[in-house]
Amino acid sequence: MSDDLERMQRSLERATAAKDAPQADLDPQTASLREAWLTFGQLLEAAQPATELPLDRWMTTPPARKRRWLLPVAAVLAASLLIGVVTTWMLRATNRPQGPGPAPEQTVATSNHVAAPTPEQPTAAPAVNGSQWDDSLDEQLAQAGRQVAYAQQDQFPGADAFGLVQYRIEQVRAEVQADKL
Amino acid sequence: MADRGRNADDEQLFADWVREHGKAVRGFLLAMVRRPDVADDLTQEVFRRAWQARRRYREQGNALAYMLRIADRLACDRGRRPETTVNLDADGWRQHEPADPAAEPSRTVLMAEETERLTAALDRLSSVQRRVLLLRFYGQLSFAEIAAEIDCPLNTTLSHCRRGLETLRKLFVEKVP
Repeated sequence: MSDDLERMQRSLERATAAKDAPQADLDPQTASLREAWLTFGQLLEAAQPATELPLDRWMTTPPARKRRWLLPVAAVLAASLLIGVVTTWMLRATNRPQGPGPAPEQTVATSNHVAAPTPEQPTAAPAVNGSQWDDSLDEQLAQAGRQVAYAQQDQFPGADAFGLVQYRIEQVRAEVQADKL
Repeated sequence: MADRGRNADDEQLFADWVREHGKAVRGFLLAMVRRPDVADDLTQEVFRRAWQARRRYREQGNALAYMLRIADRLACDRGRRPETTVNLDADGWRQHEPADPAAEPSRTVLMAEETERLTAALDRLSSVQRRVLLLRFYGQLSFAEIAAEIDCPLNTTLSHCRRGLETLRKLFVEKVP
C-alpha cells in the first residue's frame, strides 16, 4: 500500500469514526469531513422511526420453520406410486397365460357335448412362474358349458336322434289333422 | 429434550439479534430504499436469511456486519429490479412516517427539516458512495470489509468514501445549496 493511500485511509477512518470516539489533533480537512460525517449521522438517527420492530410478530412465525420437507416428501410419494404401478403391471403381464393352449371358454364353446375335458386335451395350462391352475374354476366353467348345451337341445329338438323322430311324428300328425294326406 | 433446549437457544438468539441490531439494519435499509414499508419487509427478510444461516454465522462472529452485508445485497437486488414504484421525497416520507401526534409542533417542524436535509444529502450521493458511507455508519465496517462487500479495490472504495464526505461537507458545513 502506498503512503498516500495509507494516509488517506487513516484520515478517513478518523473522520468516520463513531461519534463517541473522540478524535483529537485532526488536520483542518479531516476535521471538516468529520463535521459533515457527524451531521449526517445525526440526521440518520433522527430519521429512525420511534416504533419498535415487530419482534413479537416475527417470533410467532420463526423464519426458519418453512415447510421445506414438503417437496421431498411429495417427490418420494410420487416415486413410490410410480414404482407400485409399474410393479403391478409387470406382475400382471408375467402371470397372464402364454402359449397356444386354449382358453377354458374356448374349450366349452367348441364342444357342445363335452362333459369333461378329454384326456388328450390339456386339463390345465402350464403353471407360469410357479402359479397354479385353478381346477375348481375350470370345473365350474365346464359345468356351465354343459348346461348351455342342454338348454340348446331343449330349444332345437332335432338336435339329437330321438328328438328328430319325435319331431317327424308330430309333423305327420299335424298333416293328418289338416287332411293333407 | 435437547432439541427443545436448542430451539429455546435459537429463539433467544433471534430475539437478541432483533433487539440489538434491528434498528441499525432497518436504518440502513431505510436510507438505501427510502420507503419505510419496503425497509420493513427487507429488514424481516434480512433476519430470516440470517436465521437460516445462523450455524455458519456462529463461526464468523460480528453479527451486525453479517446482517448489513445481507441487507446491502437485498437493497442492491431490489435496486436492480425494474422500478414500478417511486421513491419518496421529503413530503412523501413525512406522509408515510407521520410524526408522533403527541410531539410538540416545534419538534415536528424540526423533524421535517431534518428529513428534508437527509433526503437532499442522500440524493446527492452516488449509489456506491451511499453504500460505503452507510455501511461505515451503521456497521462500523473497516474499509477493507466495505471494499470486499461492494466488490471494489480498497483505493477505489476510499475514493468513494472521500468524495461522498466532500459532498456532505458542501451541503452541511459549507451550506452550498
